[in-house]
Amino acid sequence: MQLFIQRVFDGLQAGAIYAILALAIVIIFRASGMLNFAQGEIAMFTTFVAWNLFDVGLPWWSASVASLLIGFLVGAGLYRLLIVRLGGTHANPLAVVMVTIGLFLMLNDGAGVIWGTAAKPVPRVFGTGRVELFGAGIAIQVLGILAVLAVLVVGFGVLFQRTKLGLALRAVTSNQESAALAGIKVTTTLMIGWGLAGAIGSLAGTFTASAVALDKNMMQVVLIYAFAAATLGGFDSPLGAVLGGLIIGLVSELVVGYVDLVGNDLRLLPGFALVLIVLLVRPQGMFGSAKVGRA
Amino acid sequence: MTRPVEWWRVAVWAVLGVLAVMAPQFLAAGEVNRLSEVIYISVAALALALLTGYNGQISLGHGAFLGMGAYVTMILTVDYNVSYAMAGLIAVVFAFVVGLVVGLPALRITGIYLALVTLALATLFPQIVVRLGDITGSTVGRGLVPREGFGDSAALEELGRRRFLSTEGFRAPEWSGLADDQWHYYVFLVIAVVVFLLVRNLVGSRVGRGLVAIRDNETAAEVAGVPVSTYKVLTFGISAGIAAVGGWMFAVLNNAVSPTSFTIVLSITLLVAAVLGGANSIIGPVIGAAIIVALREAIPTESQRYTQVIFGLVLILVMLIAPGGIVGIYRRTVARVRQTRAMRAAAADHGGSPDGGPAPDTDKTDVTTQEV
Amino acid sequence: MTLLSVTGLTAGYGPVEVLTGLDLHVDAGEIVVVLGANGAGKTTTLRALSGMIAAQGEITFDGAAIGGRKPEDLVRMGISHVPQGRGTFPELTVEENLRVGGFTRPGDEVDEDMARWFELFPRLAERTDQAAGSMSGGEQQMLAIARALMSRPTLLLLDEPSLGLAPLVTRDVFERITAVNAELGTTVLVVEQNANLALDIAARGYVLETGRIVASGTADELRSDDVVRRAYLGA
Repeated sequence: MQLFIQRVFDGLQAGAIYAILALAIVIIFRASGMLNFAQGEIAMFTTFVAWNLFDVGLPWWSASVASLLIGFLVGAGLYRLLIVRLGGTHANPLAVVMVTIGLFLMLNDGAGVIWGTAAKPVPRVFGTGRVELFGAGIAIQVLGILAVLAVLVVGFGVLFQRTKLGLALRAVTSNQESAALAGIKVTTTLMIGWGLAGAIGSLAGTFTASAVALDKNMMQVVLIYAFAAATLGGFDSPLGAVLGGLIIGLVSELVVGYVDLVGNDLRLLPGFALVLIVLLVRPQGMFGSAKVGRA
Repeated sequence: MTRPVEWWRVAVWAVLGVLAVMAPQFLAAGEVNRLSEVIYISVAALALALLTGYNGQISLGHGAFLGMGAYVTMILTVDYNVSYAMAGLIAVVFAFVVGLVVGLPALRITGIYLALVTLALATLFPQIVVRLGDITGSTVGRGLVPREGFGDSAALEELGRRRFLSTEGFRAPEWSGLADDQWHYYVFLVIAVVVFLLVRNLVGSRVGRGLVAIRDNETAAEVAGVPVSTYKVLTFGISAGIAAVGGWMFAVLNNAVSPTSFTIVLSITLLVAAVLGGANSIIGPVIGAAIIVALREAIPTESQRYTQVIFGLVLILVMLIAPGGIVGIYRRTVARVRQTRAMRAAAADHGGSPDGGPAPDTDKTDVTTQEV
Repeated sequence: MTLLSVTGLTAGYGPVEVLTGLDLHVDAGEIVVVLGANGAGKTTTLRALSGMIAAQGEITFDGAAIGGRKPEDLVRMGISHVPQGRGTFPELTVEENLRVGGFTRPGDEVDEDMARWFELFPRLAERTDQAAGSMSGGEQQMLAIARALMSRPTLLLLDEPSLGLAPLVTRDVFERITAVNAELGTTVLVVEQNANLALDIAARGYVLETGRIVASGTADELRSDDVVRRAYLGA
């Protein structure tokens, strides 16, 4: 039983990280109708910056917050400097994808150049303490990550449904032309949207680094899982992304732990199998709207 | 429909052909191998050009298909003593089938899923290879014991004793009188020319126009009677197969494969090559591949670590400045020159001054009317 | 007084020139109609006026030159454009649609105006929480007009309000437009294919053909003009 609880929380921790990155992906998908393939690498890069700050004396807590801000700036900057110059995401979707891929490469290699390829240990934002829960010792870090996820979900709910910025974001997503005609500053709004996504992504980076180690390739598989989570949940549903992430994290951990056939090497299998099944039955994911379902 | 062939075009191709054939005679083995490298990268880039440039589907995973081709070739020739020709054929079919399997489900759902699935494929390919360690040699990879001896590492020695046979790789036959590197180059050249001609014909045919129609407007193509789903899936499979040809060449050239040779970085590099040269052209991939290899060579060893950063930057810059790649720039210039000439002629007829007008958008023009 | 004055308006899409030198003007408080068949350039005209596409020529609004300004700025200056096909926000509710329309105005004005437009468009009041995309064409058209009015514009640009609507519904829409003009004094420039209804509510009109104005005059003059009658009024 104890082992089971342990596994559940391990799965939730991984799942929460996937969920956070998936949230960033969904925000950009809703705002701009496309996927930012560089999302994971931006997260990785900002985490390296945080490590750098930590290395020169800044407390990890502050460094992490700094990485949030940098993530915001990178996301907003990416939109303003590159995407806008391409004419926006609707005019030239293939070119935008290519640009994010180019950025992927630059950030990945750039991180290696700046900070080297050795993995770096990174402290945990919530410390190394443990707490007795359901008979098992659960790391406070895990609970902390889940708490952050909850805050994000609530925060975004409030932002989108109850604030003017949220209304503007939803209007721009719904009909960019009409939004401009209503006086909404479309470019600024989208900049903020991409910036928020970048900031959230950096959270995923920080938590991933604490869970394993900080290395320049750490976010690549996480990105795959995050895409799987968004697929499962429905690309335009933030709630779907979160639930999708948690489910995939849980399922992966539990199946690997309890089904002997699926060893640790095939850890990817259960999650992907699940996504595939859901897609065959419901192409738009659990909570996605119909227009996501068909090209 | 054939068009009257301009003499200067024939001349240029003839000169290039002669240079290509003569090159190995004047270059050192290392340089000839670089040329062979250009060839296999351009083949894989051509595969991408066909898929993305002409058919509008995106793949972030062609490095995996190349890797598949390389691994299958290696395993079959080393473990099962299959001839290189046969191994190549099997590798291509293998990749083709995987391509069909990957491309098929993506049809039912939106186009972005193909990008995601190929990204997953590219990211996970090295891990899958390691997982199948028994066949693939895991992280150490597979390779041949070179005749000069290889035995630095104990692990390699062990693997060599257990798995590596003393096959000699793809050696030049006696009658050719060529060194191995030259032999590889010529074989690659012939295969590449054949592949390029086949793709060129495909693109210029009725099927090819259908592919382009799908790229430009899928719904309109469907309405016009183009069998969209069939074409898309087949194109993906063929593209994967062509990439595997590049993989076969990789195996022949390097005599070794390992998981780290086929990461997402390779997939993106292929993309850069295709886009830089011009993804909606046949010649573009070759130009792109040549530049990529040249860049790699040109970057001084101290700065080798910056290679990928530069490639990524190149991709971004190309998208911003010239999305049609180098061939795109060439086409735009040609079109502008033609337009200016036509306007001058018209003005001369009417006795007025030529009106400046913007050049037509040739990056999206019907590529089947382009010669390049 | 002249609210909107346009001289030599040239605009197009890339290398294709659609408008080749338009002259027109709209006086404050008027309803002016621009008639034209498909492809004449009606939509392009409005898009040029609301800043959605680049244009050459002189455009003066309320005394100020507005060529080259972005839509977001023009809204704040008092121009509101209802695009072709309504341009509602389908996923947002009726109330949210209106709120977006009032984006540039302070909160209390937004509440005030929403109440007023619900009164003038009772069908909308019945559906405040309904997603805009699930409403009928006529209701969406009303919503689009109400949304445009939320920014308290001096000039309202309407692009083919009758498009895709049944005759009775169209008549209803046009009646609201007249009411808005009468009660608020909002100047209206409407482009239309449906000449009959349009000329009924307009004071003056222009006829646009392949990017140029080919006829202009009061509504009565246009209605009795033979060329116009044959081409647009089916007489």
